[in-house]
Amino acid sequence: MPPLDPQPEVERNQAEMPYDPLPDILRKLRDAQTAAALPNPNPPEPHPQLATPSFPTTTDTASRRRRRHRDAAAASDPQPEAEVEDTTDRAELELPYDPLPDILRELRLAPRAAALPSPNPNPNHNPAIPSSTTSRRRRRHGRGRGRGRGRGEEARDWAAGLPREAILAVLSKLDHIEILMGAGQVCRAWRRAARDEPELWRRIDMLNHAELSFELNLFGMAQAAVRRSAGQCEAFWGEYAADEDLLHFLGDRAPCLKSLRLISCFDILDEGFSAAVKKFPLLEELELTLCDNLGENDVFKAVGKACPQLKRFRLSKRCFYNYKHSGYNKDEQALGIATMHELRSLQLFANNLSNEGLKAILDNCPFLESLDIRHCFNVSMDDTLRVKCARIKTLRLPYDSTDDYDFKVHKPIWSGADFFSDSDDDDCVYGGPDYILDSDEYDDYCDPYRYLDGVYEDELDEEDRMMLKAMRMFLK
Amino acid sequence: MASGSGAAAAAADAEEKESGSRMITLTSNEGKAFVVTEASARQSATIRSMVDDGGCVDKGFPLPNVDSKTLARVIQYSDEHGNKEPHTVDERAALAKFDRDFIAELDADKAFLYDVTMAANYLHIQGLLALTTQCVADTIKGKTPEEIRTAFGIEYDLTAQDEKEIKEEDTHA
Repeated sequence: MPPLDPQPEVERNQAEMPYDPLPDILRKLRDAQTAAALPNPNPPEPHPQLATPSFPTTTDTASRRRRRHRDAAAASDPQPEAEVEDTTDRAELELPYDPLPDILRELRLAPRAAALPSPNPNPNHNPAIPSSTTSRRRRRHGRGRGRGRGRGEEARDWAAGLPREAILAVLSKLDHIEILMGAGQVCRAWRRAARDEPELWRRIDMLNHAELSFELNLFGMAQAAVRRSAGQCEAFWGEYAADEDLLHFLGDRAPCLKSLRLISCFDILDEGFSAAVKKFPLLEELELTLCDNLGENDVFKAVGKACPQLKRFRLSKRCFYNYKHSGYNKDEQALGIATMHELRSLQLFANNLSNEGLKAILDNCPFLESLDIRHCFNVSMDDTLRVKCARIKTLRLPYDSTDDYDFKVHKPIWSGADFFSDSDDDDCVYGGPDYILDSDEYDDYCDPYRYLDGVYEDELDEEDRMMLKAMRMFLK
Repeated sequence: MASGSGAAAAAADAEEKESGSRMITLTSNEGKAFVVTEASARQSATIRSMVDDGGCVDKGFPLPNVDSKTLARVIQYSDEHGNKEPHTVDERAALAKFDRDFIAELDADKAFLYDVTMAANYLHIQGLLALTTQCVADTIKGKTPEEIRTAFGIEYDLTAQDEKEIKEEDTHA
């Protein structure tokens, strides 16, 4: 409905300044104090983590490259302004961290004249609803930001002015790597909010940042995330972000963990995992996707024993490969899974299990209601299996479509001859009966960035990747 | 406005309350009065609890922390969400579109976005706060700390201790 309008519209400039309760003289005093209390405004070198962190989404590779380029340019720029002696001009204080070229900076600072404060246009109100703690905090922490600073933000103090609840509401909409690398390093107020609120870290999600594993220490970040959860962590989801040490750390700090999802965590081996999993007795959900070094030495029997409440298990391999070595038991993993008696949902992607293994699972997991065995080409659905699967509500069979599968699907390898010769898909012998798979459809999944023209990093084999990673570390 | 004197008036008052057609006055910090339906005002948990406690409905609610421009925009939101109850798919889609357009305008004016966020927090309008904080989060996504500071005009004020912690988080192995 249309609001009554008993008064003429106030000017925009006035309307923008309703919050500043301090007289000018106090503000000046306070500004002087704050400036004096600041740390050295000209650190000799911008901290590399402060100057260059970037976490592009998987789609903005171009902007990522631009950003790197620009950061490099900024780093080599001597930045004469940064040499200015201790000054109270707050805009200058920021210069050491400013990656923008000078010309842009001048443009950005230009509108500061428009930001002069005006007195509260209506000091005679009669507050019926008390001011919140928010506005009290404003008064305490406000730094007269409207004065002398432009940027079109005028009096809005997105740092100390924003109530903590609002900051937390923002942070809770970001994933944890975004918090650790971005929002949590912006300013003191945001950092405190991000660091000191365990609720924010109850479900740690470090998925979908695989590209960062080449330049950043995701293990360290995962550890920081776990530490911040202060014992309340119930879920840890990590992609390239966990090793055995982290699992033990997690086990010690998150005894109530219910969900553990590990994707592409190559540093975790069977023995280490079997030992660490004992620390998660309440686990209800476990995912091990593309963890190539996990799966033998009865590791799943260890899981079944350690996690009696496990209800959801996912074991997804990169690619189906038809092992035919003598002494290899195709069903070893399946027999381990058959010890997880409480399973409700099971996904085995590209597993080697045979009909025998699947029977063992169906016989020993009476509550199973969702089963996905796509790309498990050693299973051939016969009448016995069909009868046993009749109670399964959601069933995906080996040759079912992988259109909705959330990882890159590789063509199955049927012959052992080429396995060790070349990891390139095109050289492998593939193509099961009636099996057609267009891997191009899945290229969008990862959208890795190019580090050299025409070469995608994820097309390199594991050894080359390690080499690349080592070279980057060396260059740092 | 219902006068509330006499049994008949009280009954009418109660009836109006039930139907949500009672009117409530909100006054901005500039003294400008906005008359809204109770249903709209109840979008604010702060006002809702005061109304339910039998507070000064007739006198209206002065909002010393909200200016006229911001209050008008907040009322635009609470009218849309308070006065209509979406039942059909189309109505829900229309409301979603309203939210999108609403936030797109705020996204273009960060200072105004700030004011509306503060007002939503102050008045405890959860839906509106979710909308504006989502907008802030979307702006933050994919940005470096410095880019975030630039986007919101935030000063770098981390202490040496903070910087040390950040460095440790990144190098801990």
